[in-house]
Amino acid sequence: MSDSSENFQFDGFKELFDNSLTNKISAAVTASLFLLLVVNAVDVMGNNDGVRSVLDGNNNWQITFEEIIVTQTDTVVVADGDTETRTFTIDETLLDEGYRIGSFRMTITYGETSGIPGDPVDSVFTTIPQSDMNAQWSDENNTLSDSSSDGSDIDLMLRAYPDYDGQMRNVTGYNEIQVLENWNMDGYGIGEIQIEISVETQSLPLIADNEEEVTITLEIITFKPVAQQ
Amino acid sequence: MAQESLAPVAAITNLILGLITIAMSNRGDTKNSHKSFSALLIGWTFIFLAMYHTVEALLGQYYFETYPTAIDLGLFSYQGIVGADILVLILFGTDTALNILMLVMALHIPKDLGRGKLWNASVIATIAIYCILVPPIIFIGGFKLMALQEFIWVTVGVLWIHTYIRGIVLEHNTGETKYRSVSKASAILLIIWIGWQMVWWLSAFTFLNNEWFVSELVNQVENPPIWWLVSINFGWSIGAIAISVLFAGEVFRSVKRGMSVESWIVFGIFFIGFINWIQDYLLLDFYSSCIEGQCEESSEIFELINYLTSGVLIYLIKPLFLVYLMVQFKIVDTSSEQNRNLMRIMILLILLIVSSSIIELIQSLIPIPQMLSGSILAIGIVFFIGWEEKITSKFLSGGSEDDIESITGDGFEDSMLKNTSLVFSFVVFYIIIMAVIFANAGV
Repeated sequence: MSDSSENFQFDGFKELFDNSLTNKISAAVTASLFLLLVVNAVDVMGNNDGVRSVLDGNNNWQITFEEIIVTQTDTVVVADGDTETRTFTIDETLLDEGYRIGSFRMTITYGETSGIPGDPVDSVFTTIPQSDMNAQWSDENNTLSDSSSDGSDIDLMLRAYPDYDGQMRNVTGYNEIQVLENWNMDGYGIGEIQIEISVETQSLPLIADNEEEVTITLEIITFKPVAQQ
Repeated sequence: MAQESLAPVAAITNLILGLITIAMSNRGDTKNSHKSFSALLIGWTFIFLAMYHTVEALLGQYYFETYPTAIDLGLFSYQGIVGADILVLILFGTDTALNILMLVMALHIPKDLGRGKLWNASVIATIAIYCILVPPIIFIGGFKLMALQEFIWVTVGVLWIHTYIRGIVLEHNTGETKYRSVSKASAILLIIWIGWQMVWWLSAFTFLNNEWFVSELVNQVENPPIWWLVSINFGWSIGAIAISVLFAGEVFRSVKRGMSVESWIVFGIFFIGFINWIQDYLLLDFYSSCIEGQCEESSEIFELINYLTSGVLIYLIKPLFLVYLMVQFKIVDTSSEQNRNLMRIMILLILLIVSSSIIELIQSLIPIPQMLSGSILAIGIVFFIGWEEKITSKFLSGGSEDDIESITGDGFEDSMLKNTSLVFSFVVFYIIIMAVIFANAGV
């Protein structure tokens, strides 16, 4: 035995391939493995192309809002010094398919109802008290109370949906579902919203003016988000 | 449903088993140099597994959870947190060492494919050079290079599959049971190293693994290179082919000669492939959620199934089967009283840890009171103590003469065995030092 064979002997390796049937089966298995690798590589590269087309594609979206305003009205006669509360019940039946409640706008109108010429206009005080309704009660754009003493309309506003102002927005995302995620949350603005109205009458001497008729118009601003690239 | 990580348990188990195996490797009355070298390989495998799982547990405890596929495929990037980066780099380095250990093991167990002084020296030198060069290349060149190492899995898998087929064919042709020992050893080695990839065999054949991978592809900031995309399937493909061959071989053998314990294990892993496929199929929407819908954070079903299949195979079955391999094939000489005692410790340790881990697993699935699970474990301990002699004797006498003879080879001098341990000791320190340097340099 030469020195080189003492240093390197591969009898075990040769013995491993001494059976032709084994070699044939192993060759078939190796070919299957190679085929599986190739097919899987093609498949995973196809998946990667699909992923890259989304990740590297146009991910800028514009979100606009389609609005439908649902109006409810009520009239109440409030006696001098009294406070009347009116409750509006808001449920999903008021909403069209795909629409959600963005905000509430309340307009309180009144005039001098005594009908006597020269009778001064009464003062009306209105407040939307916080209720269990899921809305943005502490939003800085809300107007939850106001008053009027000259007969002008009183406008109150409560934001129901977070950040909803009806304005178009530019956002980035991989798909419509992702960019609309923040605009598809349910539950906001559903429940009861109340308004408290107080009246202080102003009257001429000897004329009885001790009440005021107030009309409440509630506008429920519903919206449906639309995403476009 | 929260599952306790098995990594700390696996770390402690592997560390103790590693130390005992290395201590036993060079002892014995009937010392065989090839078996000593094989025992050293197994011992250092335990040590590197312990290192891997320790770091994995620390990473999970202090920074973030990781999973083996993320390391194997290089799905990480530098975090900019020195502590986390050190741990991740140690994981990469340890994984590299385990890959080359697997290759060297395939060249020596069950058959010593090459012999000769220079060959053996070359093998040890290759381990050293590979472990010195590859981690820095990966740290500098990009973690995705890790995936190329899966080519080693393919090479090793093909080699052991061939050895397995040869054993089955020759056993059938000649009727000699010694060939069964060879096929059995190959099957066990395949399950030890790539068993956790085998459980995804049906998903590999139906491309569902690639669907899962979409959930990783969406996290890639840049278009990944083609070679990386090709490498991704190395592990799954070799796992799928390996379990298919093992299944076909065991069915064939069961029909001809009856079933064995190894057959049941193979059938069990094959069956898990169906469960994992169903899970993959049910989670298709989740995998592509980031592209087609809203990104979903994680799936409890996925976590649970992974925990019970791949997790158990990685953390519990690996050390259990390595011990089985050593005992069954007498890789360590248990004839001396000293080694017999160490082997006794090893067997009892693995039985206790595996049984306590299984109880833990059950407890994470069914909320049984801890008093009850503690009592069950206590019963187990009492049983193990009472029957200690019988259990260890049964284990130690388990291997047949054919099994003992099936792992053959020679030519390792004592100095070479010492050098092997020196090389691996150096690699452990080298990996840690490299990780600290590179993490601090923020490469």
